[in-house]
Amino acid sequence: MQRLCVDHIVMLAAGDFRMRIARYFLTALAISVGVALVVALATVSDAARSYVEQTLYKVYPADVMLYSDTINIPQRLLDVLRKSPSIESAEGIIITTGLYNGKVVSIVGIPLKDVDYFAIDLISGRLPVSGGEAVVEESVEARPGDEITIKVYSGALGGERTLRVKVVGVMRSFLKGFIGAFRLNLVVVPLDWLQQNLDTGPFVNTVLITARNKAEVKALYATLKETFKDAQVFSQENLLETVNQVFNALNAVFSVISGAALATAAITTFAVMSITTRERLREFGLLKAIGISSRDITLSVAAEVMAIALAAGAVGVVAGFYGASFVKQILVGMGINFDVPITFRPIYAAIGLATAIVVAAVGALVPMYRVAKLRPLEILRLWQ
Amino acid sequence: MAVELINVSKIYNSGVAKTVALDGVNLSTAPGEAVVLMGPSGSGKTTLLNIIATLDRPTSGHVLIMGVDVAKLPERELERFRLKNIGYLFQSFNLVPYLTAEQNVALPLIALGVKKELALLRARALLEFVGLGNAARLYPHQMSGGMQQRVAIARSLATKPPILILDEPTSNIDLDNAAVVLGLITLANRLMKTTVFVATHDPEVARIATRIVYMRGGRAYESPEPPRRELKINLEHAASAFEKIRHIDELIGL
Repeated sequence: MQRLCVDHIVMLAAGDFRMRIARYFLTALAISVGVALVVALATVSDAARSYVEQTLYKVYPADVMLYSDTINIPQRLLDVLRKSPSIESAEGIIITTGLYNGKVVSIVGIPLKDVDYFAIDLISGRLPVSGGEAVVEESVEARPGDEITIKVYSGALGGERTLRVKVVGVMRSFLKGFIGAFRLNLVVVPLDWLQQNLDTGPFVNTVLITARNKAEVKALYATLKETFKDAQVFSQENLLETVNQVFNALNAVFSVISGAALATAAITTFAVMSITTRERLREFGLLKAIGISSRDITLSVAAEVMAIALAAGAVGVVAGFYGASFVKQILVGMGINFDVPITFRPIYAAIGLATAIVVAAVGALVPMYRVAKLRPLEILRLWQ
Repeated sequence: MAVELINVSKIYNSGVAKTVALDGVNLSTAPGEAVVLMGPSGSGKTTLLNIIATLDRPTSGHVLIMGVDVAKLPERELERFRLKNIGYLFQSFNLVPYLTAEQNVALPLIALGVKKELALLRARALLEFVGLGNAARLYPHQMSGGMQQRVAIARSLATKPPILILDEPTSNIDLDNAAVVLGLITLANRLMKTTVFVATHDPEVARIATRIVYMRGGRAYESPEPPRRELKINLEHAASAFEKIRHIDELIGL
């Protein structure tokens, strides 16, 4: 194998590069647009995903939620769960639905001693301190001091019940907004009072469990699922999976958009390199006649393509990252709550550069193959 | 022998018709000879040059260059062989357009593995040899056709090849430059002992020959009369440049 000298390869590549700088600049531009799109979409997608995941952990205090359609989970179970070394807290509540003023409302019975756990964000009034008092969500359209009557329908309760409560406070959100986000028209009342009025006895239908060690959440989830076959068990991971599914679907759409841009870049590279190699036929013939090897000539073309790709990749990475930040600023400026943190990760640079190299290589492959296969005499005959 | 052609034939088969470009050519050339190939268009001059230059392969026969049967060499070895042993000068388009004169001349040397600085040093000395010491940094588009052809001669001598091949070297330049080019070819032939093959229609070019071969119908006929080498050339600048080249050659090990 002959030793590879690179000086003449660099000399040829640099010389041609200087001569066709405008053309190669446009090729690089096409590649960098595709790379910028890939980087920008990946940056925004990652940032949004990470933001949603973090927010989810922050606003939803329980790691696992046990829910039953009927109020049949004994409160004794809570004591058992609390004694488990892997469980930090377990809160039993009742969630049921009713009708107030023609509006479907969600009635939530919470233990007053642990009211802080539920992080009720009051707008006006106070928290309930005794039976018959309620805090309602803004959307219920009741004010502190109002007495409201709620009809509760539940097959499990065996017919219709009427609950009369006095509104003592109006809240903006419950459980740091996570449940409130679903606009359930919440009416929060003391748990023991609700149990008396619904004749449920010491039973609840929802248990919110927080694990001491997050690594044990999966095992806890599996155990609860196995133990309470009639109940539904949800974990944050379930919710994250849903979030991830949404993001994966979005990423698939983004990939199609990026793919189209990158395909355009590859076609542009192919067109430019095909035209360029055709224009350089005489030169290649001359070089081959001198004795410059096909390998070295092809390498000089490849060096130019790689220089274009690396420059385009670098520009694309920077443009993509700042483009994502710019789009975020525009959205925030428009009043859209898109306050996701746009942070640079080295993986974006790697993805951007790799994408640029692959696109340029794919585009230049056929023209470079043609150069490698040229026979000097065939070219020389063109002008003999 | 520098070049030995033994019963060399070249037949182009287009599928419909066969064209015999060379028909059993035999030719032996000693080192330092200057062979001028003359003959009408289509007589086989260029085909013969291309075969000697290893750019084409014969249909039959043997081509021995510096004792190597080049017809049998694989393409990659042939490229290297060409780089080391053969300088080729075309009618036109002899220079890479985006390289300066000195870069054009240095290119084959660098490809051969000579350090860039030394290659450029030799390139500048060769440019002095062809009378273009001041044009080292000029690009081809900044030079006249004659100057370009002189740079190409310097380039074709860059690797100190034992064989120099020239196809109609004066056909695209004016008379004054043609005389300079012929003078330089003669100098290379005499001072560097380079074996020269020139294909031409121009009887003036025959003045540099030590042998004249007439081509007709793909056959080669040696002229019975010895050529008269009556070319007058100014050796002064070339002789001093030649000394410099020899000194650099010792450094490079050429």
